[in-house]
Amino acid sequence: MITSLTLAPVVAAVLILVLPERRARSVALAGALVSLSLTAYLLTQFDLAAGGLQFSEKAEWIPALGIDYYVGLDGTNALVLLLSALLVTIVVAASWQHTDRPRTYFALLCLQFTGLFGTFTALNFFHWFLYWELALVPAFFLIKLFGKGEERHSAALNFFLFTVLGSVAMLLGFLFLYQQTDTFDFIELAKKGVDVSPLIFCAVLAGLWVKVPLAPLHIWQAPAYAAAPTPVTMLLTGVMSKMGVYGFLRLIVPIFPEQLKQHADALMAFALVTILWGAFLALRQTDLKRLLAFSSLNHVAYCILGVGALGIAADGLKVDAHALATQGIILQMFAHGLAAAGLFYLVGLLEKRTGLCDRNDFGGLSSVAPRFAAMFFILTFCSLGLPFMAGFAAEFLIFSGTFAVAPGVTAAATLGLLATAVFLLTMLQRVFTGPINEQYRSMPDLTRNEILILTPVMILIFWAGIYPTTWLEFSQKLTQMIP
Amino acid sequence: MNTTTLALIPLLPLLAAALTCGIQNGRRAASLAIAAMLGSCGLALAAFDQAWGMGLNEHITFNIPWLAVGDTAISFGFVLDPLTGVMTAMVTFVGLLIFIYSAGYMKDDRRMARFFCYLSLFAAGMLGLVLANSLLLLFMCWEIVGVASYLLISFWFHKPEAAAAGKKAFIVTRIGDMGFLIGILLAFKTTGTLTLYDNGQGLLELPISATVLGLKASAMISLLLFLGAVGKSGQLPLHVWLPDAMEGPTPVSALIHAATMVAAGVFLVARMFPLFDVSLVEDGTLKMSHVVAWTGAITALIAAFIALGQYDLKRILAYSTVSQLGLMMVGLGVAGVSVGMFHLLTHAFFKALLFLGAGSIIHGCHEEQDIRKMGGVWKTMRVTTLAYLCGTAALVAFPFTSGFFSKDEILAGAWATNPPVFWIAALASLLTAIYMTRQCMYVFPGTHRGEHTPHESPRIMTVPLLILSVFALGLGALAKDYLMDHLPPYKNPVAEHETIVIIVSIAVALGGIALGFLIYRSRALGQATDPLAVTPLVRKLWFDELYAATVGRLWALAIIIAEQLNELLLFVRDLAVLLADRIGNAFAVGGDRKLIDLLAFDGMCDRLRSAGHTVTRPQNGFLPGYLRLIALGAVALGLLVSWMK
Repeated sequence: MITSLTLAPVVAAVLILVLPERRARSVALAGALVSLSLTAYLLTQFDLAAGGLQFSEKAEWIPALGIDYYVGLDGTNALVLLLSALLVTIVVAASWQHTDRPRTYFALLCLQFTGLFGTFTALNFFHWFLYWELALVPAFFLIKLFGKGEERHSAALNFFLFTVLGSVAMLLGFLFLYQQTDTFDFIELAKKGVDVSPLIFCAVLAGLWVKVPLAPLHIWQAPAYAAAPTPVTMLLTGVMSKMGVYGFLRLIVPIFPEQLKQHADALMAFALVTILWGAFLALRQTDLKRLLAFSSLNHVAYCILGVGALGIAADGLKVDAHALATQGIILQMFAHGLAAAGLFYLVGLLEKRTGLCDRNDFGGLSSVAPRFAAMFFILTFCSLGLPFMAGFAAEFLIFSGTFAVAPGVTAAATLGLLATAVFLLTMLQRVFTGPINEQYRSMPDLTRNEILILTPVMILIFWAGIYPTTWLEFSQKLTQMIP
Repeated sequence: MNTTTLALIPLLPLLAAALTCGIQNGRRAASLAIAAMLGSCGLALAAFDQAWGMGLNEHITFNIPWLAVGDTAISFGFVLDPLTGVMTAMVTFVGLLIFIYSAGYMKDDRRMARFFCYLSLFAAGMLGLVLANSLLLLFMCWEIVGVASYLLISFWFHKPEAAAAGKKAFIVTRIGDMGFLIGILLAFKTTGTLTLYDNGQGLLELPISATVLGLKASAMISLLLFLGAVGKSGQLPLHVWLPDAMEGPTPVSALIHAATMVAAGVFLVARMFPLFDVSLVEDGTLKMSHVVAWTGAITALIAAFIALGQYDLKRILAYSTVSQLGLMMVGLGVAGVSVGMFHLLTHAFFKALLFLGAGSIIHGCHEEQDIRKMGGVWKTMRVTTLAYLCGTAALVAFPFTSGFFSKDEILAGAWATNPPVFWIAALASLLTAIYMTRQCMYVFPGTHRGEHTPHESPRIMTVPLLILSVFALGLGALAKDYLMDHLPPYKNPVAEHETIVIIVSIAVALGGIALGFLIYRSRALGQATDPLAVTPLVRKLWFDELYAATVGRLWALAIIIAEQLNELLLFVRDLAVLLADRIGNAFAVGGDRKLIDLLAFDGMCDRLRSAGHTVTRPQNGFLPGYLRLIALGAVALGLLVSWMK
C-alpha cells in the first residue's frame, strides 16, 4: 500500500511523457489524488491504540549487502505523510494554469512527489537516500527551467550544491555506520545503538542541517524560495523543509541518543540563533517571497529547538517535557506546512495578477479584494501564533516542552514570536491597508476555484488549532518510545 | 447552570461572528449579533444569580480534557464564582447596550456587517477569558480579544493612522503577552497543571514552594503574568498604545478600550490573586501586590497629567481610562480583589457612558473630535449632554455617584496600608476632576465654534446612554455590599474609613471641579492659549519619542546586525567558491595542462612526432637527394673501409 502510494506519481510521470501534452496536468492531478486517497485510507486504518510501526512492507533487495526494501508508517511520519500528500495535490491544482512546457513541468513535479513520499516512508537508509536525492533533482530543474528572473540559475545552483554537499557528508556518515553495524536499517540501527566519533555524528547532521535549514547553512533558502515558481516554493517550504526536521526525528533522536545528549545545548543554541536571525532578517525584507522565506526559516527552527530539548534529561519534572516537545514538533511541521504553503500560494496569485510582489508596491488591497485579504489575514495570524489555529497549539507544545528543560533559551526564543508579529503585521499594513493604489483598483478577487484550493488548508488549520488531539493521536504512543 | 449553558455564554457571540462574516447586509448582521448578545446576557444574568448565592471561596468548575500528551494533560473548562458572575454580567450587559448603540452609529458604513462580525468575535473572546478555568484557555481568549481589538482599531483601514494604531496596539500588548506566556510556561513547569481550580489540585490551590532566580516561584509567575496585565491594561510603561487606539470607531473605544478588554489585565490580577498575595522572597515582607499598587499609582498620576494637555475629545478619555485602570491596580494592590473589582465595575459603566456620549457628540458635530472646535453643544444635544454630565460626575467621584463609592474604597485601603500611594491616588483624583471640568467647559457651554451646527443623535443611540447614566449614578450604592461580601478578602468595609479619607476624597473631587471652573470660566476657549496645555503634556511627556530613541534604535540595530551577518555569510560562501575555483584552476592548469598534458601526454606525443618527423624527413621522394645520399654513403663507406685497413 505504501509502495503504491509512493510510486503512483512515477506512473503518472511516465504517462505524462507518453500522452499528449494537454493531458499532462490531469494525469498529474490523478497521480496526486491516488496518493492522497491511499494516505487518507491508511490513516483511517491506523491502529491508534497499538501505535508502533504499521503497514510495513519488507523485501530482500541486495542480500549480499544486507539491504532490504523496508517501508512503514508510525507516529513519526503519519502526519507529515498526510501533509505532503495533501500539499502535492494542492500544488498540482495551483499549477493548473501552467502553460510553459507542461509535459516537462508536470513530469518533474511528479518525480519530486515520489521522492518526498519515499523519504517519509522508507526505513532503510539505502533507498531512503535514493528518495532523498530524487526529491532534490527535479526541484533543481524546476527552479532552473521554470523559475523567475535571471537569479533563478544561481539560486538553483546554490540550492543544489548546498544540499548535495550535505547529502554527501550524510552518505559518508552512514557508510561508517554500516561498517560498524552491518546494517542500513533505521529500526535495527536504533536498536543496536551506535558508538561513533563526533565527526560521524556531524556528518549525518550536516545533511539534515542544510535541508531544514539551520543557520549558518541557510543562505540558499531565500533566493531559492524567491526564484522558484510559486507551486514549487509551496513544496519547498511546505514539505521539503520538513524532510530535514523529519530526519532529525527519524535518525538523530533514535539512532544517536547519546550524541544528542552531549550536543543538545549546542543544537538548541543554533536553533535559537536561527529563530532570531530569521525573524530579524525577515524584518528587513520588502519582497514578500523573501520575507516569507525568512519567516519559514524562523518557524521551522522552533522544531529543532524541540529536538534539542529531547536531548536534555527530564527526570523528576512535573510535566512530560519530552512528550510535549515531540508532539509539538510533529504538529508544528503540520501547521507550518499548511500555513506557509497557503501564504506562498496567495503571494503567487498576487504576483500573477499584478506582476509584482514587493510589499511597498501595494496598498489598500483589503477593499479591492476582500476575500483575498480575509484568507491572507487568517493565514498570517496562524503564522504568528494566534490561538485556536494550528500554529499556536504546536508552538505552545514545543515551548512547554523546551521551557521545562531549558527555560533561558526558551524565554529568549519568545523574542522571535514578537519579531514575527512585527514583520507580519507590517506586511499586512503595507499591502492591505492605507489608501488604494490606483494601479490595482481592478485587481480581481479570488475565484471560486482558488477558494476551493485553500479550503482544505483553512479547515485543517482551525481543526488542528481547536482540537489538536485528532492529529496528535497518531504520535501519542510514539512519545513513550522516545527516551 | 451546567457546562452547556455556561459554555453558551461565549459561544453565542462566536456563532454570531461566524454567521455575520458571510452576511453583506449590515442591518441583518446587526440584529443577529444583538440577538446573540441578548441571549448571552440572559444566560450571564442567570449565572450571576447563581453566583450570588455562593458562600466564601465557593465555586463551580467544569473541566473538559483538551490535550493529553504523554503523562501530561491539559484541560479546558469554565469556572463559576462571584468574580466570574459579576464580570460576565457586566460584559454582556454593557456589551449589549454598546451593540445596540453601534447599530445606530455605524448605520451608514458600507462594512457594517463586518463591524458586527468583529464585535461579536471580541465578545466571544472576552467572555471566554472571563469564564476560563484554565490559564491557557484564558491566555488563548486573551489573544483572540487582542486580535479583535486590532481588527476594530484599524477598522477604517483606508486611514493610514488607523492601520498604524491597530498594529501598534497589537505589538505593544504582545510585548506584555510574551511575559504572560513565559509565566504560563513557568507555572506549567512548577506545578504540572494549568487548571485554575481542580478540586484542590489546581494552580490556585496547590502550594508552590520552588524558587526561581532568587524569587519564590509563585512571585515570579505572578510577576510575569503581571507583565501581560500591564500590556493589556495600558499601565506604564506599556500604555502608549491605548491613546492611539482611539482611531477606531467610537463604540469600539467604549466597549474594548474602556469597559472590557483593557480591564482584562485588572481581571487577570484579580483572578490570579492568590499568587500575587505572597511575599517575593522567603521571609520577606514585600509582596507582588505592592508592585501592583505602585505601578498603578504611578500610571494613574502620569496619565492624569497627560490628559490635562490633550485637545482630542477621545484622547482625553483614553488617558483618563489609563489613569483609572491604574487606580484599579492600586485597589487590588492595597486592599484586595473586591476593591479593585468594584472600581472596575463602576468604571465600566461610567466610562462606557462617557465614550458613547463622546461618540454621540462627535457624530452630532459632524465627525469633529477637537474640543477647541466644539462649544455650545448643550443647546442642541440636551439628552447627550445630561448623560455625559452623569458620566463625568461618576468619573470625578462626585459624592454618592458610583465612582465616589468605589474610589473611596481604594483611598481608604491605601490610607490603611500604604500612605504614599494614598497621596498619589488623591492627587490623580484631583487632576481627574480638573481635566474633566476643562473638557466639559470646552464642549458644552458657550457658542459653537465649528462650521456645522450640532444635532442630537437618534434614539437608538440616546436610549443606551440613558440606561448607562442610571447605572453610572446608582450602581455604587447597590453593588458595594454585594462585592465586598462575596469577593476576597471578604471584609466589609475592607478598611476603616477614617474621617481624613472621606474629607480628602470629597475635597479633591469638588476642589478639582472648582479649580477647573475658575481657570476656564472667563477664557476665550479655542482661541486663547490654554494654561494647562503646556508643551510636555501636549506632547504626552515624549513617551513615544523616548521609545523610538531607545527600544526602536536597539531594534533597528538588531536588524542591521542580522543583515550584516547574512552578508558576511554570503561573502564567506563566495570566498569558498572562489577558493574552490582557484584550486580547481590550479589542478586544471598546473596538474592537468602543465603536468599531464604538456609533460606526460602531449609532451610524449610531441616528442614521438618530432622523432618520427626527423626520421621521415630524408624519405621525401627527391631523386637527386637520394643520389646525393648514396654518393655520400659510398664515399663514407669507401673511407671507412680504407680506414679499417
